[in-house]
Amino acid sequence: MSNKQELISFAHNIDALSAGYKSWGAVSVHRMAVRDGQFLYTVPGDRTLPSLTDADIEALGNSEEDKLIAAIFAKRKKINCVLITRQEYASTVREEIPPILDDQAQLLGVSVRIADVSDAKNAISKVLSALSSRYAAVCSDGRCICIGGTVDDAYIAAQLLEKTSKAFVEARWLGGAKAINRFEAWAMQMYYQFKYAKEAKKNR
Amino acid sequence: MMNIEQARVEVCSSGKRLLHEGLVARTWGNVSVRVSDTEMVITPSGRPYTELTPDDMVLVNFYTLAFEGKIKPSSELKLHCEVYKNRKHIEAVIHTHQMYASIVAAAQKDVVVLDPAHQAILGAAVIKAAPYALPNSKKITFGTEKAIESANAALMANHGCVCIGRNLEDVFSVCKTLEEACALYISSLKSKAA
Repeated sequence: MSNKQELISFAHNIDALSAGYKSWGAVSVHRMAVRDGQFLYTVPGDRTLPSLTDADIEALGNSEEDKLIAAIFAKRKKINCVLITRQEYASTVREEIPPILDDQAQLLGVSVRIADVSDAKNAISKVLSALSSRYAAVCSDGRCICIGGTVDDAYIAAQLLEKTSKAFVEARWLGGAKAINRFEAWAMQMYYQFKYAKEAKKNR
Repeated sequence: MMNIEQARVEVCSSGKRLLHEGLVARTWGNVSVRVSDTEMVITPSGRPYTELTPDDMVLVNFYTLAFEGKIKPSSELKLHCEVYKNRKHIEAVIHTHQMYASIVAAAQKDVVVLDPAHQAILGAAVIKAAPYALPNSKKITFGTEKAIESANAALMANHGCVCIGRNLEDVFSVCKTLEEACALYISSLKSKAA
């Protein structure tokens, strides 16, 4: 299946896919983009995802957001999907989230950073910097940037970003979330990416 | 006690149920059932629940950790083994990364179980949080096993929780009740602060 076809399949199933994560907080997908060979495609934000067709998918254009998406694909060669989302908890977080959950550290990276996009001139570099060695970042305007090797990977990054943000915010009522040692968090991310994630194919 | 074939079917379908109920995502979490005084059937390591079949479930000796076949068992099998070795009446174990338990676990706090109905299902008025340790380490295995004490669940700091019971249906009930108890505990702290 091509990445473009995977995008359509994902869009058709998005309601069912999100059903299992109800308690994690609401994730609304605003933009989707995929790399397919040498081409970059996107789904404009006004399309209805469950009824998406091939005709709804366009080549990446020249808007500021399109330039941001293209820059992410250019910088991160293994990334084939970028999702731009609005999220119930993540979009409201205004500070870097340290590693507070093992699954966050494994999949998203050692922290979730905030990219200050208030100055349009350097917004792209700020987002790229916030995403460095990471799979999700939150923009200061509330947009969340979630990336992955596949559409499914990017979507689970979005869901996990929401779970992490909810845990960070709600744990304040319990005296605050306690961070894991950053080196251990990094080691877990490496173990997950280079060993555990390969079990899906190898452990048969 | 279930026979091995029944256990493979039940453990497999319980893995999918974990996913559908939002208790885990992807390949995280694990499920096991005791099938004898020395063996359990457990979900495999690193495989997405959606593609699992009963044949992918792994039979493990919980004293020797030896397993049947080529498919490796869940990397967190040692925690399941310790539970079965030390609690002869326990026949099912589920480890999840469920939302509200994860919030309390991220704060490294015990859960004060406020509702007596929840206490009856969870088997304690306080559900303890095991200290943080790396996944699959001896420290997390023994720390969590100790934190369960006489309850039917324990939190695992910055990680998730483990729930135990006499059968899988009981354990799902413990998972759900723990989630409700954690949510209630957080709500009560919000009310006090308001």
